[in-house]
Amino acid sequence: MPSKNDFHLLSECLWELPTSYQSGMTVPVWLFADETLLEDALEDLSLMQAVNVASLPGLVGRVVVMPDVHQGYGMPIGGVMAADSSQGMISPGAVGYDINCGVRLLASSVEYQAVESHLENLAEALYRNCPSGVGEKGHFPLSIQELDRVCAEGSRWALRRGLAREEDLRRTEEFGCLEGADPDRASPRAKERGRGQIGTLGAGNHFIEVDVVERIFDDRAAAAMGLRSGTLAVQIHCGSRGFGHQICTDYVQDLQSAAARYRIRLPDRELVCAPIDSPEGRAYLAAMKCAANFAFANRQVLASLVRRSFEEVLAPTTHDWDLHQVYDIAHNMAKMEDHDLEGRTVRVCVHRKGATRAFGPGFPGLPEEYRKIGQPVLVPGSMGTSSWVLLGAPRGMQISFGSSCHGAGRLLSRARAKRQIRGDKLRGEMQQRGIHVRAGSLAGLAEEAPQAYKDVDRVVDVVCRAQIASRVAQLRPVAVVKG
Amino acid sequence: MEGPAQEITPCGYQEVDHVADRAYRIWGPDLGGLLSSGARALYDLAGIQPDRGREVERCIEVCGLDREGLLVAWLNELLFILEREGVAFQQFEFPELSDRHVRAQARGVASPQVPHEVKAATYHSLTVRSRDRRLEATVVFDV
Repeated sequence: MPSKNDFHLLSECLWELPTSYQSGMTVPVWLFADETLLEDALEDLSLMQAVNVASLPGLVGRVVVMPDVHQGYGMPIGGVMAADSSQGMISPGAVGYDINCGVRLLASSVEYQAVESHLENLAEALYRNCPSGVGEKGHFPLSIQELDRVCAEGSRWALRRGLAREEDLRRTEEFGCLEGADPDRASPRAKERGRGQIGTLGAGNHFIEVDVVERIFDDRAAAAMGLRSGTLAVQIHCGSRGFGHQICTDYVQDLQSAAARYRIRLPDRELVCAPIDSPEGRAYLAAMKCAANFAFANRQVLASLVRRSFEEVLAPTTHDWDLHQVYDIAHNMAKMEDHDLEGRTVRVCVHRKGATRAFGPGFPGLPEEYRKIGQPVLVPGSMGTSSWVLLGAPRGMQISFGSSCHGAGRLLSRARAKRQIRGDKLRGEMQQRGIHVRAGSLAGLAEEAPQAYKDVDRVVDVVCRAQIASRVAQLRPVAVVKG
Repeated sequence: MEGPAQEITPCGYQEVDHVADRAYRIWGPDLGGLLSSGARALYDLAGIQPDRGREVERCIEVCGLDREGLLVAWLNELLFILEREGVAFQQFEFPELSDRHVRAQARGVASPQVPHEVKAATYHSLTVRSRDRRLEATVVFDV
């Protein structure tokens, strides 16, 4: 297990664990952290997992670890690795079971103070309209053929169904659809799990949260995003549901034999992988894209249901209740990208697990209104704490493969959180603070208590001090809906 | 809810701490016992009340590269049936069982409600070990 002495400081909030730490490492590990978060990271196996990742063949640059890191399986949550497109590997475990788990932010002109008395009803409407919890079916059950279209089209499927606006797609990572998805690479079992779940939130740490824009740090960027102090915004956090979970399960199992065939030494079986340029690697990537597109469509449908809820509760008394999209980002994904490395451009497969893309200004894949400022980076805090809107920064393209943190990162296990915290008491405390809560499970609520997570303000401070992102706005929760 | 203490029962499960997800130590006198304990741990995690619902009988067959692979495939098969049909099994017989293959006759109930979501059983730090004339493993479930 690494210790603090094994790390040396490269620059502000950036630490390196060199390849000399352990034989077999092909690239170093770079950790973004202050001293407190470095010590937190050393408390679990996350940095040892990063060392395991750094031992995979075909990596370039470095393994990057974000300040909200915590132990996962294979790759730690908060990890980024870049595999050479011709020599490197693709690994389902370095993407995660919830493929394209991500966050969407919607914003409005609704003044919080004008509608505060309606928030209880708004929370109720969101809970009623947006299916959440285990086993809940969505309002749009799909045939297998229709599910195949979702796989191929992503958010465009929702646009055709009248559940999206053009602006929503423009302001989604990859414009809401990864090209090259092949529905034939998703198993019948995955489709069976997913076909009833489009437009559902799920459970666990997934949520819909109504926030107030508390503070603006970057007037120009906030204006471009349509964020104004004192107004309501909504975050939607969820992913590809059972469809994505099953795809990951299928390929983690299928690739076990592939790893042996390609003579890949696996430090951890959850890091099972195959060459990107192999039948197995291409099959997984095509299936992963199906799940990613499902998740984009899923968050799009939920956004339409959130808009319906706002209309239902606020339209009778509020002139302009509408919600526009700020951005939608993924934090579990593998994508082919071009990055500059030591003066040359390399094509790599960037795996981000519990980390987000955070491209700086000038990237052509951004909508025009963001091209001069950079990509919005959405960082939800733990329940009841601040969330943040950041901007991707140029230095991130140099040192973190254009990546940033994704949230607060867990400190306490779920079991310990439930032992220490009572869900009903937590709900009461939040209500007293003016946060309206609707949750399907009090035990689930306890698992997601703020005390179970790291300090998101500290996490954001680190990425800003390291100059891989910059602050745009801080959000404060006023209503939370969970499964 | 935790299973019985290790020293008392030949088959059982017990939750152990894991930062982000849920982990269970499982044990049994043999591989069939281990698979049965794994099933019970899964249903405990999902919050299933095993004694309520319509009775169901099913043949379940999976393969794996080794005992660990077999255990993961077994648990994920049970998870799929649970999610799709709400069926949880309480009794297992193993007419065919080896380190790489199992065919089981399973009896259980269809529950109307599955309280907690489980995404998958993982390979994380998974080793099936022989100890004190019993098989043990610690399985991490992604929730």
